Amino acid sequence: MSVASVYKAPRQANPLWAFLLSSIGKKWIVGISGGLLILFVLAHLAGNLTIYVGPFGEGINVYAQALHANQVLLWLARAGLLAVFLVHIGTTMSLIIANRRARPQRYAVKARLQSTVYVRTMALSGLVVLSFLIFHVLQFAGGLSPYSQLYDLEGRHDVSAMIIMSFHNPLVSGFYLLSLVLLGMHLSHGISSIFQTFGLNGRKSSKLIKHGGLLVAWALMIGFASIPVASVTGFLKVLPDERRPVRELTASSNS
Amino acid sequence: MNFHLKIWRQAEGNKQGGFQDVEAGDIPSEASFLEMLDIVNDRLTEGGDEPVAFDHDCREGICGSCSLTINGIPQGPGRGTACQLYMRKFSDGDTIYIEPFRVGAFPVIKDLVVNRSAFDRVIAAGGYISERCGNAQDANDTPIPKTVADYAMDAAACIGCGACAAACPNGSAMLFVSAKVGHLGLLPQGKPEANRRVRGMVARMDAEGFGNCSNYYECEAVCPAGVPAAFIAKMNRDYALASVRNAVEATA
Repeated sequence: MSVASVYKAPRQANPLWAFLLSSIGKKWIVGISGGLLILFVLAHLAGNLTIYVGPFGEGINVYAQALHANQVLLWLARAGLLAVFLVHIGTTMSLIIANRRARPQRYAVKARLQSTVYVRTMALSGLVVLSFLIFHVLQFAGGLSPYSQLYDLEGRHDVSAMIIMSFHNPLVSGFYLLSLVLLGMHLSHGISSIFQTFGLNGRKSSKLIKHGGLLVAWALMIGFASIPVASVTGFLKVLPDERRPVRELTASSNS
Repeated sequence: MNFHLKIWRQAEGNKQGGFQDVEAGDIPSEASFLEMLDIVNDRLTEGGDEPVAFDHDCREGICGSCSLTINGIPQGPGRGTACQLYMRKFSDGDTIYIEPFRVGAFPVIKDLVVNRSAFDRVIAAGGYISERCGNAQDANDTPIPKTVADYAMDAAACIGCGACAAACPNGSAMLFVSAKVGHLGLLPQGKPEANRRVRGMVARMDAEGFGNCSNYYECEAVCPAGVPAAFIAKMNRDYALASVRNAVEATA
Protein backbone atom coordinates (compact mmCIF):
# COMPACT_ATOMS: atom_id res chain seq x y z
CA MET A 1 0.00 0.00 0.00
CA SER A 2 1.42 3.30 -0.98
CA VAL A 3 1.70 6.16 1.46
CA ALA A 4 -0.58 8.27 -0.67
CA SER A 5 -3.47 5.86 -0.35
CA VAL A 6 -3.10 5.65 3.44
CA TYR A 7 -3.07 9.41 3.96
CA LYS A 8 -6.52 10.84 4.37
CA ALA A 9 -7.05 14.54 4.11
CA PRO A 10 -8.95 15.88 7.12
CA ARG A 11 -12.66 16.01 6.37
CA GLN A 12 -13.50 19.51 5.28
CA ALA A 13 -16.46 20.75 7.26
CA ASN A 14 -18.91 22.97 5.42
CA PRO A 15 -17.03 26.31 5.52
CA LEU A 16 -20.16 28.32 6.29
CA TRP A 17 -21.11 26.13 9.25
CA ALA A 18 -17.52 26.07 10.44
CA PHE A 19 -17.63 29.86 10.58
CA LEU A 20 -21.08 30.18 12.15
CA LEU A 21 -20.32 27.63 14.86
CA SER A 22 -16.91 29.10 15.75
CA SER A 23 -16.46 31.44 18.69
CA ILE A 24 -15.86 34.41 16.40
CA GLY A 25 -18.66 33.41 14.03
CA LYS A 26 -21.16 33.40 16.89
CA LYS A 27 -19.97 36.84 17.90
CA TRP A 28 -20.61 38.01 14.35
CA ILE A 29 -24.15 36.61 14.55
CA VAL A 30 -24.74 38.44 17.84
CA GLY A 31 -23.25 41.60 16.31
CA ILE A 32 -25.31 41.45 13.11
CA SER A 33 -28.57 40.68 14.94
CA GLY A 34 -27.77 43.35 17.53
CA GLY A 35 -27.06 45.84 14.76
CA LEU A 36 -30.40 45.05 13.12
CA LEU A 37 -32.14 45.51 16.47
CA ILE A 38 -30.43 48.88 16.90
CA LEU A 39 -31.72 49.88 13.45
CA PHE A 40 -35.18 48.83 14.62
CA VAL A 41 -34.80 50.92 17.80
CA LEU A 42 -33.81 53.90 15.62
CA ALA A 43 -36.82 53.45 13.32
CA HIS A 44 -39.10 52.92 16.32
CA LEU A 45 -37.86 56.14 17.92
CA ALA A 46 -38.37 58.07 14.68
CA GLY A 47 -41.94 56.74 14.58
CA ASN A 48 -42.55 57.58 18.24
CA LEU A 49 -41.37 61.15 17.84
CA THR A 50 -44.21 61.81 15.37
CA ILE A 51 -46.36 62.12 18.52
CA TYR A 52 -45.01 65.66 18.77
CA VAL A 53 -46.71 66.54 15.45
CA GLY A 54 -50.21 68.05 15.75
CA PRO A 55 -52.05 69.56 18.74
CA PHE A 56 -53.17 66.17 20.05
CA GLY A 57 -50.33 64.05 18.72
CA GLU A 58 -52.14 63.20 15.49
CA GLY A 59 -48.79 62.69 13.79
CA ILE A 60 -48.41 59.27 15.35
CA ASN A 61 -51.98 58.32 14.36
CA VAL A 62 -51.13 59.07 10.74
CA TYR A 63 -47.87 57.15 11.09
CA ALA A 64 -49.64 54.17 12.68
CA GLN A 65 -52.28 54.12 9.98
CA ALA A 66 -49.59 54.10 7.29
CA LEU A 67 -47.74 51.34 9.14
CA HIS A 68 -50.89 49.20 9.26
CA ALA A 69 -51.89 49.92 5.66
CA ASN A 70 -50.24 46.81 4.30
CA GLN A 71 -50.92 43.95 6.70
CA VAL A 72 -48.81 41.47 4.73
CA LEU A 73 -45.72 43.67 4.91
CA LEU A 74 -46.40 44.47 8.56
CA TRP A 75 -46.59 40.82 9.58
CA LEU A 76 -43.53 39.97 7.48
CA ALA A 77 -41.62 42.73 9.26
CA ARG A 78 -42.89 41.52 12.64
CA ALA A 79 -41.88 37.93 11.87
CA GLY A 80 -38.46 39.11 10.73
CA LEU A 81 -38.03 41.16 13.88
CA LEU A 82 -39.02 38.21 16.05
CA ALA A 83 -36.56 35.99 14.19
CA VAL A 84 -33.76 38.52 14.74
CA PHE A 85 -34.62 38.66 18.45
CA LEU A 86 -34.60 34.88 18.75
CA VAL A 87 -31.26 34.61 16.92
CA HIS A 88 -29.75 37.35 19.12
CA ILE A 89 -30.95 35.75 22.37
CA GLY A 90 -30.30 32.15 21.32
CA THR A 91 -26.75 32.80 20.14
CA THR A 92 -25.98 34.85 23.24
CA MET A 93 -27.23 32.03 25.45
CA SER A 94 -25.02 29.53 23.66
CA LEU A 95 -22.05 31.89 24.17
CA ILE A 96 -22.87 32.34 27.86
CA ILE A 97 -23.05 28.56 28.38
CA ALA A 98 -19.69 28.08 26.63
CA ASN A 99 -18.17 30.90 28.70
CA ARG A 100 -19.35 29.36 31.96
CA ARG A 101 -17.75 26.06 30.93
CA ALA A 102 -14.52 27.81 30.05
CA ARG A 103 -14.19 29.09 33.62
CA PRO A 104 -15.33 26.15 35.78
CA GLN A 105 -13.67 27.37 38.97
CA ARG A 106 -14.16 30.95 40.09
CA TYR A 107 -11.55 33.07 41.80
CA ALA A 108 -11.95 33.52 45.55
CA VAL A 109 -10.90 37.14 45.02
CA LYS A 110 -11.41 38.82 41.65
CA ALA A 111 -10.34 42.34 40.90
CA ARG A 112 -12.18 44.41 38.31
CA LEU A 113 -9.72 46.29 36.21
CA GLN A 114 -11.27 48.13 33.30
CA SER A 115 -14.51 46.32 32.46
CA THR A 116 -17.49 48.67 32.52
CA VAL A 117 -20.67 48.19 34.51
CA TYR A 118 -22.43 47.89 31.14
CA VAL A 119 -20.58 44.77 29.99
CA ARG A 120 -20.91 43.11 33.38
CA THR A 121 -24.68 43.55 33.35
CA MET A 122 -25.37 42.64 29.71
CA ALA A 123 -27.35 39.49 30.53
CA LEU A 124 -29.36 41.23 33.25
CA SER A 125 -30.13 44.33 31.17
CA GLY A 126 -31.04 42.12 28.23
CA LEU A 127 -33.46 40.05 30.33
CA VAL A 128 -35.18 43.12 31.83
CA VAL A 129 -35.54 44.67 28.37
CA LEU A 130 -36.96 41.37 27.09
CA SER A 131 -39.57 41.20 29.87
CA PHE A 132 -40.45 44.83 29.18
CA LEU A 133 -40.82 44.09 25.46
CA ILE A 134 -43.31 41.30 26.13
CA PHE A 135 -45.41 43.66 28.26
CA HIS A 136 -44.94 46.53 25.79
CA VAL A 137 -46.11 44.50 22.79
CA LEU A 138 -49.12 43.11 24.67
CA GLN A 139 -50.04 46.57 25.92
CA PHE A 140 -49.86 48.61 22.74
CA ALA A 141 -49.92 46.19 19.81
CA GLY A 142 -51.87 43.43 21.54
CA GLY A 143 -54.70 45.71 22.64
CA LEU A 144 -54.23 45.04 26.36
CA SER A 145 -54.27 48.79 27.04
CA PRO A 146 -57.67 50.07 28.28
CA TYR A 147 -57.22 53.00 25.89
CA SER A 148 -56.76 51.01 22.71
CA GLN A 149 -60.26 51.64 21.33
CA LEU A 150 -60.22 55.42 20.89
CA TYR A 151 -60.51 57.24 17.55
CA ASP A 152 -59.45 60.73 16.59
CA LEU A 153 -61.27 63.47 14.63
CA GLU A 154 -60.37 61.86 11.31
CA GLY A 155 -61.61 58.48 12.50
CA ARG A 156 -58.09 57.06 12.81
CA HIS A 157 -57.09 54.85 15.70
CA ASP A 158 -56.00 57.38 18.37
CA VAL A 159 -52.57 55.91 19.16
CA SER A 160 -51.50 59.22 20.68
CA ALA A 161 -54.26 59.11 23.34
CA MET A 162 -53.49 55.46 24.08
CA ILE A 163 -49.82 56.27 24.73
CA ILE A 164 -50.35 59.48 26.70
CA MET A 165 -53.13 58.09 28.91
CA SER A 166 -51.18 54.89 29.57
CA PHE A 167 -48.21 56.91 30.75
CA HIS A 168 -50.42 58.73 33.27
CA ASN A 169 -50.28 55.45 35.20
CA PRO A 170 -47.07 55.80 37.27
CA LEU A 171 -46.48 52.05 37.14
CA VAL A 172 -46.50 52.04 33.33
CA SER A 173 -44.26 55.10 32.95
CA GLY A 174 -42.02 53.90 35.80
CA PHE A 175 -41.45 50.48 34.24
CA TYR A 176 -40.96 52.16 30.87
CA LEU A 177 -38.27 54.52 32.20
CA LEU A 178 -36.52 51.74 34.15
CA SER A 179 -36.43 49.58 31.03
CA LEU A 180 -35.05 52.51 29.04
CA VAL A 181 -32.20 52.91 31.52
CA LEU A 182 -31.39 49.21 31.14
CA LEU A 183 -31.70 49.36 27.35
CA GLY A 184 -29.39 52.37 27.45
CA MET A 185 -26.88 50.33 29.46
CA HIS A 186 -27.24 47.41 27.05
CA LEU A 187 -26.58 49.65 24.05
CA SER A 188 -23.76 51.47 25.86
CA HIS A 189 -21.82 48.24 25.54
CA GLY A 190 -23.57 46.95 22.43
CA ILE A 191 -22.97 49.75 19.95
CA SER A 192 -19.20 49.99 20.44
CA SER A 193 -18.97 46.20 20.68
CA ILE A 194 -20.34 45.84 17.16
CA PHE A 195 -17.35 47.77 15.87
CA GLN A 196 -14.97 45.55 17.85
CA THR A 197 -16.68 42.33 16.71
CA PHE A 198 -16.64 43.33 13.05
CA GLY A 199 -13.07 44.53 13.37
CA LEU A 200 -14.00 48.02 12.28
CA ASN A 201 -11.99 49.78 14.97
CA GLY A 202 -8.28 50.23 15.26
CA ARG A 203 -6.12 51.31 18.12
CA LYS A 204 -6.67 54.99 17.43
CA SER A 205 -10.41 54.87 16.78
CA SER A 206 -11.22 52.61 19.76
CA LYS A 207 -11.73 55.48 22.19
CA LEU A 208 -13.77 57.51 19.73
CA ILE A 209 -16.04 54.54 19.02
CA LYS A 210 -16.43 53.79 22.73
CA HIS A 211 -17.50 57.33 23.56
CA GLY A 212 -19.56 57.66 20.38
CA GLY A 213 -21.42 54.47 21.25
CA LEU A 214 -22.22 55.79 24.71
CA LEU A 215 -23.43 59.10 23.27
CA VAL A 216 -25.70 57.46 20.68
CA ALA A 217 -27.11 55.00 23.24
CA TRP A 218 -28.11 57.65 25.74
CA ALA A 219 -29.32 60.10 23.06
CA LEU A 220 -31.71 57.38 21.87
CA MET A 221 -32.90 56.76 25.43
CA ILE A 222 -33.50 60.48 26.03
CA GLY A 223 -35.60 60.52 22.86
CA PHE A 224 -37.74 57.63 24.10
CA ALA A 225 -37.94 58.95 27.67
CA SER A 226 -39.16 62.34 26.48
CA ILE A 227 -42.59 60.88 25.64
CA PRO A 228 -43.60 59.60 29.12
CA VAL A 229 -42.11 62.76 30.63
CA ALA A 230 -44.05 64.97 28.21
CA SER A 231 -47.21 62.92 28.92
CA VAL A 232 -47.00 63.15 32.70
CA THR A 233 -46.10 66.84 32.69
CA GLY A 234 -49.01 67.66 30.38
CA PHE A 235 -46.89 68.84 27.47
CA LEU A 236 -48.56 66.20 25.30
CA LYS A 237 -52.32 66.64 25.33
CA VAL A 238 -55.09 64.13 24.66
CA LEU A 239 -58.07 64.97 22.46
CA PRO A 240 -60.85 65.99 24.92
CA ASP A 241 -63.63 63.43 25.23
CA GLU A 242 -66.39 65.96 24.30
CA ARG A 243 -64.76 66.52 20.91
CA ARG A 244 -64.13 62.86 20.28
CA PRO A 245 -66.49 61.42 17.62
CA VAL A 246 -68.66 58.56 18.78
CA ARG A 247 -67.75 55.59 16.64
CA GLU A 248 -70.71 53.50 15.69
CA LEU A 249 -70.43 49.87 16.55
CA THR A 250 -70.72 47.90 13.38
CA ALA A 251 -70.35 44.26 12.56
CA SER A 252 -66.87 44.90 11.18
CA SER A 253 -65.73 46.60 14.39
CA ASN A 254 -63.77 44.43 16.75
CA SER A 255 -65.21 46.08 19.84
CA MET B 1 7.59 43.54 56.21
CA ASN B 2 4.90 41.15 57.38
CA PHE B 3 2.14 39.65 55.27
CA HIS B 4 -0.79 37.32 55.81
CA LEU B 5 -0.76 35.01 52.81
CA LYS B 6 -3.70 32.93 51.68
CA ILE B 7 -2.11 30.47 49.26
CA TRP B 8 -4.06 28.02 47.10
CA ARG B 9 -2.88 24.48 47.82
CA GLN B 10 -3.92 21.59 45.63
CA ALA B 11 -2.03 18.29 45.74
CA GLU B 12 -3.08 17.24 42.24
CA GLY B 13 -5.27 18.52 39.45
CA ASN B 14 -8.13 16.15 40.21
CA LYS B 15 -8.01 16.67 43.99
CA GLN B 16 -9.96 19.27 45.92
CA GLY B 17 -7.90 22.37 46.69
CA GLY B 18 -8.17 25.05 49.33
CA PHE B 19 -6.49 28.06 50.85
CA GLN B 20 -3.67 27.69 53.34
CA ASP B 21 -2.99 30.55 55.73
CA VAL B 22 0.68 31.36 55.86
CA GLU B 23 2.23 34.13 57.95
CA ALA B 24 5.13 35.63 56.02
CA GLY B 25 7.05 37.68 58.57
CA ASP B 26 10.26 39.63 58.21
CA ILE B 27 10.20 39.88 54.40
CA PRO B 28 12.59 42.46 52.91
CA SER B 29 10.73 45.15 50.98
CA GLU B 30 13.15 44.80 48.06
CA ALA B 31 12.22 41.10 47.60
CA SER B 32 10.32 40.28 44.45
CA PHE B 33 7.05 38.42 44.83
CA LEU B 34 8.71 35.18 43.77
CA GLU B 35 11.62 35.77 46.17
CA MET B 36 9.07 36.25 48.93
CA LEU B 37 7.60 32.85 47.98
CA ASP B 38 11.15 31.39 48.00
CA ILE B 39 11.60 32.62 51.59
CA VAL B 40 8.21 31.19 52.56
CA ASN B 41 9.09 27.88 50.92
CA ASP B 42 12.43 27.70 52.76
CA ARG B 43 10.61 28.14 56.04
CA LEU B 44 7.94 25.59 55.10
CA THR B 45 10.62 23.09 54.16
CA GLU B 46 12.53 23.70 57.40
CA GLY B 47 9.33 23.13 59.34
CA GLY B 48 8.85 19.81 57.55
CA ASP B 49 5.97 21.07 55.36
CA GLU B 50 5.51 20.70 51.64
CA PRO B 51 6.76 23.84 49.82
CA VAL B 52 4.35 25.74 47.57
CA ALA B 53 4.68 24.78 43.91
CA PHE B 54 4.74 27.76 41.55
CA ASP B 55 5.96 28.38 38.00
CA HIS B 56 8.94 30.57 37.29
CA ASP B 57 11.91 30.69 34.98
CA CYS B 58 13.76 33.81 33.86
CA ARG B 59 12.60 36.11 36.67
CA GLU B 60 13.33 39.01 34.31
CA GLY B 61 9.79 39.56 33.10
CA ILE B 62 10.32 38.18 29.61
CA CYS B 63 9.71 34.43 29.63
CA GLY B 64 6.05 34.37 30.66
CA SER B 65 6.39 31.44 33.06
CA CYS B 66 4.83 33.22 36.05
CA SER B 67 1.23 32.19 36.51
CA LEU B 68 0.11 33.69 39.80
CA THR B 69 -3.16 35.48 40.39
CA ILE B 70 -2.42 37.93 43.19
CA ASN B 71 -5.40 39.50 44.96
CA GLY B 72 -7.54 38.63 41.96
CA ILE B 73 -5.18 40.10 39.36
CA PRO B 74 -3.31 37.69 37.07
CA GLN B 75 0.42 38.61 37.21
CA GLY B 76 -0.36 40.88 40.14
CA PRO B 77 -1.05 44.61 40.39
CA GLY B 78 0.77 46.93 38.02
CA ARG B 79 2.03 46.32 34.49
CA GLY B 80 4.48 43.44 34.12
CA THR B 81 4.81 39.89 35.31
CA ALA B 82 4.61 38.61 38.88
CA CYS B 83 8.40 38.23 39.03
CA GLN B 84 8.73 41.97 38.43
CA LEU B 85 6.39 42.77 41.31
CA TYR B 86 8.21 43.85 44.48
CA MET B 87 6.93 43.55 48.00
CA ARG B 88 7.33 47.31 48.56
CA LYS B 89 4.25 47.64 46.34
CA PHE B 90 2.24 46.21 49.27
CA SER B 91 1.66 47.66 52.70
CA ASP B 92 2.95 46.08 55.88
CA GLY B 93 0.35 43.72 57.32
CA ASP B 94 -1.52 43.21 54.01
CA THR B 95 -3.49 40.05 53.40
CA ILE B 96 -2.53 38.65 50.00
CA TYR B 97 -4.55 36.01 48.16
CA ILE B 98 -2.45 33.88 45.81
CA GLU B 99 -4.37 31.69 43.38
CA PRO B 100 -3.43 29.86 40.20
CA PHE B 101 -4.68 31.07 36.79
CA ARG B 102 -8.28 29.87 36.71
CA VAL B 103 -9.07 28.86 33.15
CA GLY B 104 -10.78 25.61 32.21
CA ALA B 105 -8.25 25.04 29.44
CA PHE B 106 -5.37 25.51 31.95
CA PRO B 107 -5.85 22.61 34.38
CA VAL B 108 -4.07 22.89 37.72
CA ILE B 109 -1.08 20.55 38.00
CA LYS B 110 -0.23 21.36 41.59
CA ASP B 111 -0.82 24.33 43.92
CA LEU B 112 -0.19 27.41 41.77
CA VAL B 113 1.15 25.58 38.71
CA VAL B 114 -1.19 25.23 35.74
CA ASN B 115 -0.74 23.38 32.47
CA ARG B 116 -0.67 25.94 29.66
CA SER B 117 0.04 23.43 26.87
CA ALA B 118 -3.24 24.52 25.27
CA PHE B 119 -1.39 27.65 24.10
CA ASP B 120 1.33 25.49 22.52
CA ARG B 121 -1.30 23.49 20.65
CA VAL B 122 -2.90 26.72 19.41
CA ILE B 123 0.53 27.84 18.15
CA ALA B 124 1.05 24.45 16.49
CA ALA B 125 -2.21 25.00 14.59
CA GLY B 126 -0.68 27.79 12.52
CA GLY B 127 1.24 30.29 14.66
CA TYR B 128 4.40 30.05 12.60
CA ILE B 129 5.84 30.66 9.14
CA SER B 130 6.51 27.44 7.22
CA GLU B 131 9.21 28.77 4.88
CA ARG B 132 12.78 28.69 6.08
CA CYS B 133 14.03 32.25 6.21
CA GLY B 134 17.66 31.40 5.39
CA ASN B 135 20.53 33.67 6.34
CA ALA B 136 20.05 37.18 7.59
CA GLN B 137 19.14 39.51 4.74
CA ASP B 138 20.48 42.95 4.08
CA ALA B 139 18.60 45.60 5.97
CA ASN B 140 15.50 46.87 4.15
CA ASP B 141 15.66 44.05 1.59
CA THR B 142 12.02 43.44 2.35
CA PRO B 143 10.41 46.87 2.58
CA ILE B 144 8.06 47.17 5.57
CA PRO B 145 6.62 50.54 6.57
CA LYS B 146 7.85 51.64 9.97
CA THR B 147 4.29 51.97 11.31
CA VAL B 148 3.46 48.41 10.25
CA ALA B 149 6.67 47.05 11.74
CA ASP B 150 5.96 48.88 15.00
CA TYR B 151 2.38 47.63 15.13
CA ALA B 152 3.48 44.04 14.44
CA MET B 153 6.04 44.44 17.21
CA ASP B 154 3.30 45.53 19.65
CA ALA B 155 1.64 42.16 19.09
CA ALA B 156 4.90 40.22 18.95
CA ALA B 157 5.64 41.52 22.46
CA CYS B 158 3.24 38.83 23.73
CA ILE B 159 5.14 36.42 25.99
CA GLY B 160 2.37 33.82 25.99
CA CYS B 161 1.95 33.83 29.78
CA GLY B 162 -1.81 33.34 29.69
CA ALA B 163 -2.71 36.23 32.00
CA CYS B 164 -5.21 37.44 29.37
CA ALA B 165 -7.20 34.20 29.56
CA ALA B 166 -6.85 34.14 33.34
CA ALA B 167 -8.22 37.69 33.67
CA CYS B 168 -11.07 37.13 31.22
CA PRO B 169 -14.37 36.42 32.99
CA ASN B 170 -15.07 34.05 30.08
CA GLY B 171 -11.69 32.33 30.15
CA SER B 172 -11.11 33.49 26.58
CA ALA B 173 -7.72 33.33 24.90
CA MET B 174 -8.58 35.88 22.23
CA LEU B 175 -5.87 38.40 23.14
CA PHE B 176 -3.15 35.76 22.98
CA VAL B 177 -4.38 34.24 19.72
CA SER B 178 -5.01 37.63 18.14
CA ALA B 179 -1.50 38.78 19.08
CA LYS B 180 0.01 35.77 17.30
CA VAL B 181 -2.33 36.02 14.30
CA GLY B 182 -1.75 39.78 14.22
CA HIS B 183 2.00 40.03 14.30
CA LEU B 184 2.55 37.32 11.68
CA GLY B 185 -0.30 38.52 9.47
CA LEU B 186 0.95 42.09 9.37
CA LEU B 187 4.36 41.24 7.95
CA PRO B 188 5.11 40.14 4.36
CA GLN B 189 6.74 36.90 5.54
CA GLY B 190 3.53 35.86 7.30
CA LYS B 191 0.99 37.00 4.73
CA PRO B 192 0.96 33.97 2.39
CA GLU B 193 -0.32 31.72 5.18
CA ALA B 194 -2.48 34.34 6.89
CA ASN B 195 -5.86 32.82 5.98
CA ARG B 196 -4.91 29.28 6.87
CA ARG B 197 -3.28 30.50 10.07
CA VAL B 198 -6.22 32.44 11.46
CA ARG B 199 -8.71 29.66 10.67
CA GLY B 200 -6.48 26.97 12.13
CA MET B 201 -5.63 28.85 15.30
CA VAL B 202 -9.21 29.91 16.00
CA ALA B 203 -10.47 26.36 15.44
CA ARG B 204 -7.83 25.03 17.83
CA MET B 205 -8.62 27.76 20.38
CA ASP B 206 -12.29 26.73 20.32
CA ALA B 207 -11.43 23.04 20.55
CA GLU B 208 -9.28 23.67 23.62
CA GLY B 209 -12.36 24.98 25.42
CA PHE B 210 -11.42 28.63 25.79
CA GLY B 211 -14.37 30.99 26.15
CA ASN B 212 -15.62 33.70 23.80
CA CYS B 213 -14.77 37.37 23.83
CA SER B 214 -17.46 39.61 25.35
CA ASN B 215 -15.32 42.74 25.07
CA TYR B 216 -14.67 43.12 28.79
CA TYR B 217 -11.09 44.19 27.93
CA GLU B 218 -9.77 42.86 31.25
CA CYS B 219 -7.10 41.03 29.19
CA GLU B 220 -5.71 44.31 27.90
CA ALA B 221 -5.52 45.65 31.47
CA VAL B 222 -3.44 42.74 32.82
CA CYS B 223 -1.27 41.96 29.77
CA PRO B 224 2.33 42.33 30.97
CA ALA B 225 3.38 43.13 27.40
CA GLY B 226 0.65 45.72 26.89
CA VAL B 227 -0.86 44.06 23.80
CA PRO B 228 -3.88 46.20 22.85
CA ALA B 229 -7.32 44.61 22.46
CA ALA B 230 -7.52 46.24 19.02
CA PHE B 231 -5.73 43.08 17.82
CA ILE B 232 -8.85 41.11 18.77
CA ALA B 233 -10.86 43.37 16.46
CA LYS B 234 -8.32 42.74 13.72
CA MET B 235 -8.59 38.98 14.24
CA ASN B 236 -12.41 39.12 14.16
CA ARG B 237 -12.13 40.80 10.77
CA ASP B 238 -9.33 38.58 9.48
CA TYR B 239 -11.17 35.41 10.54
CA ALA B 240 -14.39 36.44 8.83
CA LEU B 241 -12.59 37.40 5.61
CA ALA B 242 -10.52 34.19 5.68
CA SER B 243 -13.72 32.16 6.14
CA VAL B 244 -15.33 33.88 3.17
CA ARG B 245 -12.28 33.17 1.02
CA ASN B 246 -12.29 29.58 2.20
CA ALA B 247 -15.96 29.19 1.33
CA VAL B 248 -15.40 30.70 -2.11
CA GLU B 249 -12.43 28.41 -2.73
CA ALA B 250 -14.42 25.38 -1.57
CA THR B 251 -17.15 26.06 -4.12
CA ALA B 252 -14.73 26.90 -6.94
